[in-house]
Amino acid sequence: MRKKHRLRKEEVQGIVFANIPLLGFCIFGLLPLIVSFYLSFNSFKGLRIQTAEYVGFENFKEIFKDDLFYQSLGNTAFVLLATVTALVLSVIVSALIATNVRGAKGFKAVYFVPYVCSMVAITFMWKWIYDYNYGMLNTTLMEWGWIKEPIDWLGSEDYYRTAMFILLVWSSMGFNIILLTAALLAVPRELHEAAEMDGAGEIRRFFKITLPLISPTIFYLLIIGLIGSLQEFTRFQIMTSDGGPGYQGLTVVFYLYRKLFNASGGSDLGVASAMGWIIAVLISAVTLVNFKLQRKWVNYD
Amino acid sequence: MIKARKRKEILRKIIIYSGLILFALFVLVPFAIMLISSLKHKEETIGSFTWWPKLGMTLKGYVNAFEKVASSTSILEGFVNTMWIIIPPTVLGLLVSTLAAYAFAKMRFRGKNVMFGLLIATMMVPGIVTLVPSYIIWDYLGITMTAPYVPLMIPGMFGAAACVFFMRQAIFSIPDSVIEASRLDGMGPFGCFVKIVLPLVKPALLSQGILGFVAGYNDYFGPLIYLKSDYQTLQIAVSVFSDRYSGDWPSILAANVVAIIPTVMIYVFVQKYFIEGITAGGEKG
Repeated sequence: MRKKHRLRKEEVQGIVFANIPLLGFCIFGLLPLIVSFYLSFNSFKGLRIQTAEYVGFENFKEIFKDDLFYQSLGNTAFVLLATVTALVLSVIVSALIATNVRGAKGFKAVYFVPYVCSMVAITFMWKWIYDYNYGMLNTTLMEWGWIKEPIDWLGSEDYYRTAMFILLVWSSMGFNIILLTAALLAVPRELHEAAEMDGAGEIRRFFKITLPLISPTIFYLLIIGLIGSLQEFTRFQIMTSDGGPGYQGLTVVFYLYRKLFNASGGSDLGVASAMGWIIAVLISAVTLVNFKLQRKWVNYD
Repeated sequence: MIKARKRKEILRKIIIYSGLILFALFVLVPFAIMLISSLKHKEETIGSFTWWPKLGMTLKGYVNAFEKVASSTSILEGFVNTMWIIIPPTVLGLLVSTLAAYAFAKMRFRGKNVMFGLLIATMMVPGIVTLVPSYIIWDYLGITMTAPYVPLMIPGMFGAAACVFFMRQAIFSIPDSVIEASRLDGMGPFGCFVKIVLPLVKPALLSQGILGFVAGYNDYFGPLIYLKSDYQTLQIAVSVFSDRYSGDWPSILAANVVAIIPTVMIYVFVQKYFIEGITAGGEKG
């Protein structure tokens, strides 16, 4: 009898211990989610929720009629492109490290440094490198005679994307490399030796044996990278707080931020909430498509 | 034949090492430029870029960075604010997550799998949907005016699904017999958690704690939304400072060097925990 009582008490304790994080989600995740649903079908004046007025799908209609919104989607797609490029380059660098180089630890330690640094600091660092008048990049390129006039990296529509692309790739590779080199280390040597006996060259072995074996890690990095890129904000907001030349630096989340805190007083909660939903649906869609596609290329044996 | 093979092998080595060294330079040179430029005289950053300060080095930029200007958060205050705002949720959230992980890994109760599934499902909700309504709710409660740091602190104290997942893996590796032995000694589940489980998973705790701390320290979006003027964190203070000193690159870069020193130090000293925390996270993929 006593034992049974004790078990029940323990069960209650187990349930309580296990569910504090879930409780946190209900308060700080689920509740806002419900509120967000309500907000996106209402119109507001300023940031005051008391002025809510039901408007049906007006907020969504407004977003889908907004050219700047489509442009911000395009800008975000560009971030995705940079993320994928960084992933491909990371695979190459990791494969080089995995060829039994001396000082592999040192190389990895160096490559990882950008990951621990704040995005704010890193962005200011590159802003200085790209500086029109006195930056290292323009000075060096002119000294080498590659360009005659300085390039307006951050102010010209022709170069802004290139500049941001380099920054995005530069700062996203360290994390990938750490995970990829760990995955590469786990590839059994015997497989390579057997293939070498069969006369398969190094590059061929990499594509036929190594790549399929590390594909789950690549997939994981792809998913995390895509979700992160769809929410990219900091690097663009710090680099060009006005949205960049021709709004090329206005990512969807940056646009949402501007809808929420519009300096000219035109904050629109309803539109901002609706936009949050659209971004969330996009993230889910991209994740889902990837999970569907993974069967074609990810190898879980 | 052997000679040709050897030559090929050397060529292969040269290609690999030059690739790795070039990439290392690509990563490090920007930091070197930042560090050197932060030590230059302002006059020297107006004019063609020089790799080495010809006018000698100065700490003027750093002096400016630490100067207290009225009506704005100084770098030092920003650092203190950051610590106040991120340490409690990091530590408490970690303990709460570990407690939940312990329950999922070692305790018996009904509905465990369903609860775990629900918890993992919460990771699918992108933070961006809850951002606007969360702000509205805190604003409605008047918190954004009176205590704007609260929204940045409280949610994290309830733990996080990803952290529960990671700690659960670590707790699985504790043999059941160890847990049972402690129970036979009359310890309750909570006593067992504090006295047996926590000490045994110390490395996992450290790596999650460090990752959480660094992520919180570097966070910009959350503080930007909530901390309009008071209690600004270091990242916000640095960004405001850099805008105010626009054009004075040594000062801007000095402030940013100061901002990255703490996390780089942590990285240099406890690299192992960083890497472990990250690789273990990847294995679930």
